[in-house]
Amino acid sequence: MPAISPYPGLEPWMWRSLLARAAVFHATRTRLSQFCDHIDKGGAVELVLRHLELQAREWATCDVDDDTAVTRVVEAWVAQLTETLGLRQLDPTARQLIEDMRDLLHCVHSHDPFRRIFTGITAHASALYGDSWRTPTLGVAHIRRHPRGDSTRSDPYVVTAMTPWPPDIAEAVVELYIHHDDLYIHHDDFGPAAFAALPILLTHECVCHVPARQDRASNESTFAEGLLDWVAYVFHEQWAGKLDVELAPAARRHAEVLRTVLSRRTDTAEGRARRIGHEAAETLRSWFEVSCGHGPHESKLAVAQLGVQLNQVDRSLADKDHFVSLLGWPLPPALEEVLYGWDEGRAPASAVLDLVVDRELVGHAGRTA
Amino acid sequence: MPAEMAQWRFERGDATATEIQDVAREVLAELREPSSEASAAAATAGLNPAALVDARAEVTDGEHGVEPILTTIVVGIAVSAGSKVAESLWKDVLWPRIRRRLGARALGGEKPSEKAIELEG
Repeated sequence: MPAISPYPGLEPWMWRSLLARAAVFHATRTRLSQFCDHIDKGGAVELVLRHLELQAREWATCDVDDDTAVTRVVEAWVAQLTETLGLRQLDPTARQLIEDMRDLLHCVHSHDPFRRIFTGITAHASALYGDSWRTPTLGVAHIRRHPRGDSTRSDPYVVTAMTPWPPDIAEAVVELYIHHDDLYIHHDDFGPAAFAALPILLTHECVCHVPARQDRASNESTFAEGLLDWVAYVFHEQWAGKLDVELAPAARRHAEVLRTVLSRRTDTAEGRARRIGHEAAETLRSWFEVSCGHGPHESKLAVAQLGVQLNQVDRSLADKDHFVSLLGWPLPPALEEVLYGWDEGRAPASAVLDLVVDRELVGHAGRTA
Repeated sequence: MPAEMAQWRFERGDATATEIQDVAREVLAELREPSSEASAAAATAGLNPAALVDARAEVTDGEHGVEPILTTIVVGIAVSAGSKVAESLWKDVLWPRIRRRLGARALGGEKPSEKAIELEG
């Protein structure tokens, strides 16, 4: 049976090539972190990853169904792992890793791993946002270049995601983009690090953008791409274990590495927005600690809760960005009053935005991107 | 009836004008085959495949520049059935297949103010 892609943005052979690798990464998810460490060192483990890529592409165009293609890729890869284990000059930790992965490959299946991750995240995000939640559809498409144009040595996360704006009143589309080269270029680096980063990417879309109520979208928004991104990390940390306890350690680790990779990009407006929004969130968290007497964890959750509530207030993105710009020491007294009211349950989150439009009360000076 | 050339200008993406044009022409050729996936997509979009037999696609660079990334890609679709049909042909039939073949970022963002329709003799 010829391959059929469930995603219009992927050629059937691309779908199958990604499916086979993602199925292997899912089956070996308890070893993904070690797998990545060894790939960074090069040597035998990097070679077996390249072999997996080759086999996935080889079987992607064959006239068999998805189950059979995945099974054949796994059989070929198990043979390669076994051959590698026969090498005498193999680092003992690499040998152990390869043995462990080979054992884990007994339970590979061809269920759509992208949809599985997405469905779990949407269940949590839907509960978080309640009536404001839009029902999202997942799209998967390929891109021909690394999403940030980087080398995969310094940035192995060859995946990104977006939520086209404006969404429908009750529905949205989340598009996952995966770097995949043309058929005859046998190297595109969709590897274990990129797979492990999928949960944070999709959590970002579901926390920051799917339920957002605002007038426009902007990748340079310190609120939408900065403060809310910080909030998405808070929820990713909370949800990772519930989503998939076996993937959680690698998902958490690679979420943090991806955060570091993205934070380095201060040469772009998006990178600056992210940095400013994250700093503002940390400032607000400290304010809750110092001014409201909350503990560090409780303060983190307070920032996350306020961010989620502000995201549901149908107000201009400029107002929300202005709020972020005010989150520097010392906070304007009028803003502190509203935040005290919100913390004590006397004021809704919208009161914060009511206040920030009054430039005289809170002053014009704020941090800008 | 003269064919109308509907045009859209896009920021350059990951694909060249030639690559996009090649795929567009392949899809237009598929439309001559009633059982093709492209014909089914056209029918789903409410287009009459018979009205598309004379459709043409011209994809060109908007200008030349030292930095190719700064240049514009101009997509032109000519079809005697009119500009509405040309727009649907691009949006519902050609672009989804170009995107699938050349990637989601084959083209950059559309430049809204430069959309134009030209009449061809």
